Amino acid sequence: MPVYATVQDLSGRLVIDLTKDSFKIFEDGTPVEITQFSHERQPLSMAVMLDMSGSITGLAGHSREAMDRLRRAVLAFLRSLEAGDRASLGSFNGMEIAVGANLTNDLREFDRVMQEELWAGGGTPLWQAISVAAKSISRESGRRVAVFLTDGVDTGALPGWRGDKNTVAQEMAEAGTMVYFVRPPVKNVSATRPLPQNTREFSQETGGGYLEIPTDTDSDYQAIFGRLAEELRHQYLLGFSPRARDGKLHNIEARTTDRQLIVRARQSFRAGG
Amino acid sequence: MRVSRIVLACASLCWWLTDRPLAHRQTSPVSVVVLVDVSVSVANTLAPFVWDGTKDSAGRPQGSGTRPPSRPADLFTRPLTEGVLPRVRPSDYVRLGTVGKNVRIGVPLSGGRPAMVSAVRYTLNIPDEDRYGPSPLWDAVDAAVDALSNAAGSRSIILVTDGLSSGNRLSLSQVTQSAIQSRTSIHIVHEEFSETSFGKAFSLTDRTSNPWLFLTAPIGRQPGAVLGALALATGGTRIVDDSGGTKNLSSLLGSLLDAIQRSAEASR
Repeated sequence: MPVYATVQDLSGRLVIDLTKDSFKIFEDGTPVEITQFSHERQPLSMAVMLDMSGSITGLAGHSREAMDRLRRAVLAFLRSLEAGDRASLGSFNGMEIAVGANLTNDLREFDRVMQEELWAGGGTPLWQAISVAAKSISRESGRRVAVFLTDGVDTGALPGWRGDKNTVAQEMAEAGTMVYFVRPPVKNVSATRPLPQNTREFSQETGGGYLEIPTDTDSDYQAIFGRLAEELRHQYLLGFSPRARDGKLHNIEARTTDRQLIVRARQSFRAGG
Repeated sequence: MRVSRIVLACASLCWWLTDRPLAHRQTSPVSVVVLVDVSVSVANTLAPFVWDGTKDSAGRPQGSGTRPPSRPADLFTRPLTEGVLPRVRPSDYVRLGTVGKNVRIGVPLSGGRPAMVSAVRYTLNIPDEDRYGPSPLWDAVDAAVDALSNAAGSRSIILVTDGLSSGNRLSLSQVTQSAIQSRTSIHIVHEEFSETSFGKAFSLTDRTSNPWLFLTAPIGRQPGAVLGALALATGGTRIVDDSGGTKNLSSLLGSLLDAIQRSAEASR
């Protein structure tokens, strides 16, 4: 069972030089042997999804210049893909969830999607979009990541979908997909809203995380996306064998021997039957 | 003898004219795929939510009101059966397709009217989950071009859409080239949301108290420009329908098919 881990020190700096002996894994509180370890960069399959709801675009005071800034930053982020990595670029709004059809590392394709396939307006079916995006990469081997540019406020699913945040969390646990949220500098009337607490927690339970772009400037966009690219470049791969293959969800915790370090990794998994 | 020959020739001509369908004696066949965008954004434009006048304490309109039936079968059965089917001649090769999450191109329309009406109804029976994205318009156009690749006569696609395309494997540029190379003209009925209908209806209600929103392109070109360019490049036309309903769709589809048939005749 693969566990991808990000390690930071207390100041938030990435810690990238740990060895296998630096880690411990606990399944339902019981230590288990780490059977696989690598600090080499693992190939990545990534679904990048842009929240095009009204709260992000248009009514929120986001100008075309701001959207262009977002576009440049996303393209710069996707430029950080390396050999073996593949990504899709899609969007969601109050009328549709459209995952990018092509998993690729061709920047022209990402730019094409930006130019041809973004439509802004309506609500935010966030949890449903996460489910759809994760499914689109669920058959890819290796690291699977879903990155959402969003203000993180779900306003309800599109008609016909019966899931919710909890069912999506289970799906992520089963698929081992890490979910990241990047909140653009959205101005909602007068104040920039932080990501909601439940959204932050959700991302961390998957082993992903969240980042907030403080101001609507190129430098802030680039800094935050640069940070995300760095994090994805420096994750550890820890592998272990589940104690029982009972088909049930189990808790998992990855720690370092240095308790001053903070480990982010998936917090549950389903043991295959 | 001479008179007899003339009589015989006239009789033969009369027999030929009366015994053959009009299509065989006077017309060039056309090959057409009618592609209907069945995504919910189109449905919201064609069956707009009718606001009941309710406002919140700040005087902003609230999302209260009614929406007429807006499934693909509700919206498109009549325009297709009244606008398209009566104009399909036996020699024509006409297929109906839909663009939703999945692209479907139906079998060629043939047989009598009951069979064709049945085919229309079958094609428009779209699962709800197919209507909420993506809307791969360019992939659908490519599939339609492919469906016409071996067809005789002039080749055309009639696309009914609002132009909000997403989730495509192919780019607009690739599909445009593909259509040009296969000599397929693309005619578009652009179902455009009209701002002028504000106050009576709106295309999209939003649970975040933004009921006046309609979808726009925040970065790229607006749908009208994209659809216009596609039609122009392939020798087709773009007709804007901003009536906010389906009342004009039958006649628009009929006019387009008439024009395609006349054009084929003229170039024979």
